[in-house]
Amino acid sequence: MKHPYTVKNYLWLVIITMFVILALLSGCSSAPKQTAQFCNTSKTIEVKDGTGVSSKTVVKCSDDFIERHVPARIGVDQNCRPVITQYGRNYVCETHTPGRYVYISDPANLSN
Amino acid sequence: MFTFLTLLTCQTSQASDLRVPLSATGGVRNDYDYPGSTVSVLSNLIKSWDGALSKEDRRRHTNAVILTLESVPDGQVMEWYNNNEEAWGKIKPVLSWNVQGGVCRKLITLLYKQGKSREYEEVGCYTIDSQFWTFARQ
Repeated sequence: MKHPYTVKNYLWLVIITMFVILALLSGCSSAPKQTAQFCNTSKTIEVKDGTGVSSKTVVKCSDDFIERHVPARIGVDQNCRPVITQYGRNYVCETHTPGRYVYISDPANLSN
Repeated sequence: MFTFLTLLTCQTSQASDLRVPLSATGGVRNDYDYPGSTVSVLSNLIKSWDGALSKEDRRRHTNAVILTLESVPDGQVMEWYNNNEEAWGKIKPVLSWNVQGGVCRKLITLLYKQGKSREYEEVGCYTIDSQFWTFARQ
């Protein structure tokens, strides 16, 4: 005699439950995005004649949109021209390599 | 019911919008399994979510593609970067030809997100009738 309650009977229930749990987990795990200005920290430690130690921490923040959005290694010129798209004003910058351009969008225009 | 949910998930309005490049909605993964079983369909759904560009990056990429079509000569490259999400895209027009009342351009696009990348070949066309760029995958 077959047992009426086998795992096979509940397969769809298990799949749908997994589906819901996965959706909930992915929704909860989305971290808030960083939109504030970018800052770099550098610390210098000086030893004075063996008698004392002083340290200096420099925090450098930048509002420059190129520094904020393009990796430094790409080598983007400051020669950027504004372009108007359907999402507002954005920029196209030349790079140090001829024939290579970088498109930079204003985050304020992207989140609308 | 599950088939219905799957179809509902896969059928997005953006994917069917010809004005959006297919590379913007296709994501960065292309290691999908043959959808012959429930497990492979589920696995493909998870891969699709994992490889999808964020809403901001889809807009960023779409804008960059349209700007490329309008202003970048064949052989040159337009790039965009998103440092926050470790994503970037590179768009290179490789061929342009005239069609009746407009122009078509073939693009090679490379998308990258968090260690995964995918290349696309697609064609964008602008005609007097359409008044905007429409896209088709090669």
